[in-house]
Amino acid sequence: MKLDPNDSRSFHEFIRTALIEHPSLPHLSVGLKKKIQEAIFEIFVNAQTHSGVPYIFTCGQFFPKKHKIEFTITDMGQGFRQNFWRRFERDVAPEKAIEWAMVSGNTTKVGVPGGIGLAILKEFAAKNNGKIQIVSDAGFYQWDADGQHLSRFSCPFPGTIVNVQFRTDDRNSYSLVGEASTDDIF
Amino acid sequence: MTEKLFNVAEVAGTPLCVGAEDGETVFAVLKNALASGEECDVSFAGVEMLTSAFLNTAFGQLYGAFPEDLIRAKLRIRDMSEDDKALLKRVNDTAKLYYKDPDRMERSAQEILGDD
Repeated sequence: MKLDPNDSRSFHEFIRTALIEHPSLPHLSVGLKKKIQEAIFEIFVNAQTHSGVPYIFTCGQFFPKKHKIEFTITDMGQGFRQNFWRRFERDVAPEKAIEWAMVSGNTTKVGVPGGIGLAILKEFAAKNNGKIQIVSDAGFYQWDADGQHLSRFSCPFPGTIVNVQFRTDDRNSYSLVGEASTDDIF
Repeated sequence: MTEKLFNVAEVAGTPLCVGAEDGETVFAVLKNALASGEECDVSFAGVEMLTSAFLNTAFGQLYGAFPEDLIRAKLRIRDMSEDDKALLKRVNDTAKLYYKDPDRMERSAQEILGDD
């Protein structure tokens, strides 16, 4: 599906109808559904913020026998390496630029705190026993239960692909009741 | 001392509080209120989706404009799920570090370049 990255409403409708509430999906807990949607939105917003292009492309598939969903968002805009260059005016290996961006608090935005979205995605993938794969420029980054894997392609991809694998047989509780009281948020 | 109630979804103009631009709208409103010395009840009723990007611009940026003590004294959160509160707390903690140590990002970039 081709989407305007600023059209959050259409994207939300797409992931709700084509994925989260699709009749072929098994029963997922409310918490897991919410976490999957949040993780997907963090990728969507990352593309919205950093790619600088008018369209993104998204697709997904549910594999019932393997109990997993694969979901991908692709843009043909500025990738991790280019954004690192724009922020720091230093060249970094494309796979290292992705690795840097996956660390909580690291952001190429200027004057605005951030850099949490991809870290949240990684933490959720860890708990869900899922997988993250990112291709940007010639860099390849993968994170799964075996840890982090970096490599480099001989030919660069002119944009960024983020593929996430979610387990639908995840029985973890995603309730965080009591973790943050209203008094200590600020 | 005046007290105001803000509904985040109404201020942002959408129940999908995901994009940084919508976060900027909320930031501008909260910044004006805090600058005027108002106490603010901030309600998340009606919000269907939240991202860290939205919260970073809406709330994280406040730490670049006001002291932590003032923000804590003047802002109160309502109608927010426990896991969304945990996300907002993480955003705020990250923002505090960001403004307290502006060179951290450069050092972090240097570390990854050193690895190269």
